[in-house]
Amino acid sequence: MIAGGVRVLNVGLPLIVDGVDPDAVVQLDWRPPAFGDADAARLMASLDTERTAEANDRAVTAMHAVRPQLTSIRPAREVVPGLAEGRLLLHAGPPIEVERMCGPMLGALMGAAVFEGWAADGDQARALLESGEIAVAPCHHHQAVGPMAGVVAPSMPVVVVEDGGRQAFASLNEGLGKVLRFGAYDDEVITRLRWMREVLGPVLDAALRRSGPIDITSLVAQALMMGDEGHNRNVAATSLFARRLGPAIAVEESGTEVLGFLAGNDHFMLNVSMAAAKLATDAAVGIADSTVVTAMSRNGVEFGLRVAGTGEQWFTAPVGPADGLFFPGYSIEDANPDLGDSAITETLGVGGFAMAASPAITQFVGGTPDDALATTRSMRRITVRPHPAYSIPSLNFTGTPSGIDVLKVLDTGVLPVINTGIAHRLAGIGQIGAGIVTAPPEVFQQAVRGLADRRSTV
Amino acid sequence: MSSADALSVRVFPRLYRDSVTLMALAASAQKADGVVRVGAVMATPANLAILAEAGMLPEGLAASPDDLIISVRATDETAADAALDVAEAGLSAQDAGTGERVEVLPQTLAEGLAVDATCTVAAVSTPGTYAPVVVEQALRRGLHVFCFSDNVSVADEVRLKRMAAERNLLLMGPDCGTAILDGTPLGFANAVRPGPIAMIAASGTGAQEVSCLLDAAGAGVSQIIGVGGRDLSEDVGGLTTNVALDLVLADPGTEVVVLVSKPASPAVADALLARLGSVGRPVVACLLGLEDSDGAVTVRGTLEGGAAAAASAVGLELATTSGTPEPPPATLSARGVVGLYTGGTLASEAKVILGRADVAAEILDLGDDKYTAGRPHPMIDPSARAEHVEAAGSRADVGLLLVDLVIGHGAAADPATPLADAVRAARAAAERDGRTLVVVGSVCGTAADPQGIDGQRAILREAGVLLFASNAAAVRYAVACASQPPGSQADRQEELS
Amino acid sequence: MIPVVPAPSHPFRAAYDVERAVLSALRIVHVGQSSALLEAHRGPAAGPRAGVLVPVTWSDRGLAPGGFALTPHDGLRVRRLLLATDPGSALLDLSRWLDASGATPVDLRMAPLRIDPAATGRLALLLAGGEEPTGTDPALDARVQRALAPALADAVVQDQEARVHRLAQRLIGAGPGATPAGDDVLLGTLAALHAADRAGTATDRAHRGRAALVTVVTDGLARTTAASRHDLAAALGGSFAERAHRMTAAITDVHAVGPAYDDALGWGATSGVDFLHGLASTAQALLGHWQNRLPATA
Repeated sequence: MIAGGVRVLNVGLPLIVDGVDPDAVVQLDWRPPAFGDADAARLMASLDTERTAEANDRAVTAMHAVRPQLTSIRPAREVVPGLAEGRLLLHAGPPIEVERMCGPMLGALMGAAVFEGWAADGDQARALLESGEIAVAPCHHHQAVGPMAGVVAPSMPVVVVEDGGRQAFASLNEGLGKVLRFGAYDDEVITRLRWMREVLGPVLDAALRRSGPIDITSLVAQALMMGDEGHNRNVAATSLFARRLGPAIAVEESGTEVLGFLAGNDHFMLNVSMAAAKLATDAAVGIADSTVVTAMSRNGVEFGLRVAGTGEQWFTAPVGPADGLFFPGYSIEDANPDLGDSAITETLGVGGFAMAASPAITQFVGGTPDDALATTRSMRRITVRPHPAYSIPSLNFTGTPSGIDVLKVLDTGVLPVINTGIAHRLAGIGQIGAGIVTAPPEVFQQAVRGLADRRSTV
Repeated sequence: MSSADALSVRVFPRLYRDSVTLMALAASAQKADGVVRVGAVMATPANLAILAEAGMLPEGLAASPDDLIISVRATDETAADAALDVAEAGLSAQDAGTGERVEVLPQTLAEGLAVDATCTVAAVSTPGTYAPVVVEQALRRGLHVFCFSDNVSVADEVRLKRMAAERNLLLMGPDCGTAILDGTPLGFANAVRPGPIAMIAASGTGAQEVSCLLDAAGAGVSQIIGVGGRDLSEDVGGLTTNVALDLVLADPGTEVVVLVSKPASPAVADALLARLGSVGRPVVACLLGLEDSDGAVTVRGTLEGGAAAAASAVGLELATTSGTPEPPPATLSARGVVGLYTGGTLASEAKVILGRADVAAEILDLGDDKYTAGRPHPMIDPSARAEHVEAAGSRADVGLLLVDLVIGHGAAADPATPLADAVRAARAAAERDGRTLVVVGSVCGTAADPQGIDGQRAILREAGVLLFASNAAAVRYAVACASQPPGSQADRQEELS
Repeated sequence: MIPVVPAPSHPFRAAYDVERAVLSALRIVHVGQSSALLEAHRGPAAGPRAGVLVPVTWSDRGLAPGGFALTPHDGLRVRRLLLATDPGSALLDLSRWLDASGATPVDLRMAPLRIDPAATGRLALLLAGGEEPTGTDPALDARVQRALAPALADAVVQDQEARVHRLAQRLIGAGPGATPAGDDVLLGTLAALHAADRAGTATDRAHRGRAALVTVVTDGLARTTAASRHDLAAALGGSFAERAHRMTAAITDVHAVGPAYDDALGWGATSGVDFLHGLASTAQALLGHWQNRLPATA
């Protein structure tokens, strides 16, 4: 009568299947779903339909089909929508009022205002920001991303990645130490920014024109084979980038200076691969009925989540500091709450999701290679399917888990793992460590409600 | 223990590990070659005494409560030491790692299906709050559902049963206790022989009684599909019953269909009977309390009547109705008849038969929430009923006691013994007061059940219980006794001997 | 070097009986998935507080007597910090935690509770259905201790002092687990007794029986592990971990039985179920004391 024979999935008491042949039983280690929120669990079950599965398939296919090319490095005002006129600065994370911003973000915005010549000093910059004469907006609202404070100002050079007429942008990485993205804006920082605007940007742009666009997907894929995980470790990717563009840079005036800068900045490629990840995940934004995550981002106060089926809506929850290993002399006491758009890399399936590729990073954040493998495996439980381009040797060359499904996160209770740098809570001190954070459960509980609202109004 | 045995012990001073780790440690050491016994416990005085008693503690070993002690008995010293090495490695591995636990069992329905995509039925016994979530997930993945969980709202039941019906899937329950699908028992069910009769049941013990009577008659069961107690209510409207009918009518192994339920909503019953009348094969509707009638559908008001009609549809006769002579009615020393039941539907059947004969009686369903007070269900913990039985022995107004005994998967391992002890005590108490307590009953079960019906019957018979082949037959005998004029003590002694 | 653990960044809870005196020099005993066990320094100057435990818990683990409960996020932070700290030499200072504005004190004493017959019945049914072997060796199986629970409950409720002594001594520190199974059975027993006693539903006899149990357990504390001793000592004073409070709901509310049982399965290897055995047996004994009558009619 039962097509396929009676084979039982037992959800609960073993007593129920006492009389059943053990070979015909799969016993579940069931736990209450949705982090114990029964209403969210019901919505999760109601959205778990064929329609959702098809939409998620479309969303992930769209994300994986994007092949971002690094084509040029241009001043932001030329290319980033909305920056051509007026006084607008972009920042990392979901939207936030100036009054609520954390130290590093406010410092970075103040520094950017001084850099643009809109203010004579920090105090004046702060007044202009607080009065709204200088407007602020999230990078994500302008096809851009930025690590840590993520500040983009109109005259800063940005990387331009493109695929089929779509574009995404990111600032250039300044290196470690006293840098704007950690909220520092003294003369040293401003001087470096000017050099980047006047020398680094133009030289790299010219070199790119000479050598032709760079395929970022294949460059990142190669770097994963070389021990990067694509978020906290970028030394392989940066080396590949410098090697690829080196000859073209060398012939430029000031080329040696630029090569020297690249040689001293292990993280240069992070911003480029973030822009590439943003371009890829943006391909899924607005795909109706899809429960795939399109952005995870932190502004130093809140964690923000965006989901394909709810378009540009943010789901937010308070965020705390990352814990991990601290540089000598610092402790978690000094740490700022988690910050930056860089979790876009995990959104696509690298960074924390590619831990298995990077035994070196495991040591950096505390743990063993076994932990790294376990982390990547557990991310499989909450994603749609492996990324076809990002295969990992230690996982028998299967791809990294990609396409976080809100429903799977709620069903399993497994939260996305994010590798992150840790900023000092005071503006300008810089990076003081690195570690692992998980997204807060609340944003997924909110997201399923948002998705259900959207579904019921269609 | 042979003299070739070796005992090795290691003590880890002031070592704290969580219980799960200790358990895993012992289990891994146990798997090593040549290992006979393993103990991994905290070295408290009580545990040292337990180890000493088990011959797993060398003399003179000193340890304090916060030490971890691992003791291994093996075929030889090398094996014992090797096992201890395994255990110790487990301890230090814990030190090095971050202690993340490796996932072994699948956790969610989707993960379960990823492990084995051939699953066809989900059995759900989660807390009621989450049962609708899991049931919905299962239905959306095309699984039939056996839902043991209760505390599910009627609104959820209707919504999910509609969803199941659209997909032509069975949603058995919520609060479904019994099913046999293609020979596989789920929940509380008996080991009945396979055969041509399918049962669709809104009542668990009702289905058990009918299936066991058919088994005894040599007829077998193709399917038992539980539908949940509310399926034939106005609100639910027989949603699962209709899907179940579609399935059994398409089942090549089914020739006769039996419906078992306590009285249903009249509107739902009418619609169902109309459908049953035109299915083109014998249908018996066993609806407790209804008048017996023969038409397109054979309607029977008792479980036994339903079982008899189903048996006769396949050319067999029930032992209880085939003319086996029943003992002459006993003369009761008091007119009171009390029934102490563990099976709810069996109690209902008793009330129907007694009511038809106009015999007044107290019939208690001790599985009902109001009597399980402070105790497990009496089918699982038979001692709950024993007290009621004993107490009945000292009631001067009680002349006859009716009992049932339900065995099978899920029931207690030996429910007969506590009942037999209680019956002995009750009868002795009555005897001391110069009365005789007549105890009458039946056992619902089969020879193939884990408890075995013959052994259980023998235990009851030895205690003086008059056993009948069905609950209905036992009740009929009670009716006959209660209808007799009260007689002398001597008459009774003679009849019972 | 004394690494200083900073105050948690999110609102957190502190047991009302957490002892400030022990917080300034703590040693790491164990770091688990959802809890860490710290212990007052046993150094020369430690005095009588040496060895007092401070359980720090997070996620769904709930607050334990004398401890702190953190948000999952802070828990993860603290866990990583502790894992990176050398347990042998480092001493931690949590004293600032009590001063932190985010600290909410929580009273963990068992509230007066009305024992519900239907809930108790359902709990006993669930427990009867789940009796799997719990260890690799029959002598070290938690079922040995669980089987003593009904007898102990009966002896307490009947105030049979000698029997209470004999049974309690067989339970203290006995059985598998870091908190031996027998101790968890005792905790469950004490929880039910406290609940009934404070509700005024325990008979005088049961009240006296409880006093006898308290005496014998107090005398036996040295016979078990530090973790167990901590829990038992708190229970003797009427305080229980939040987890135990959640479990105790299983004898007061029929709807709490399923969740409590699920919860219990996740508590240690056997501890949660051991606790429920003590709890259910005692609740049954207390109920039986005034409910053991035949219903007159249907």
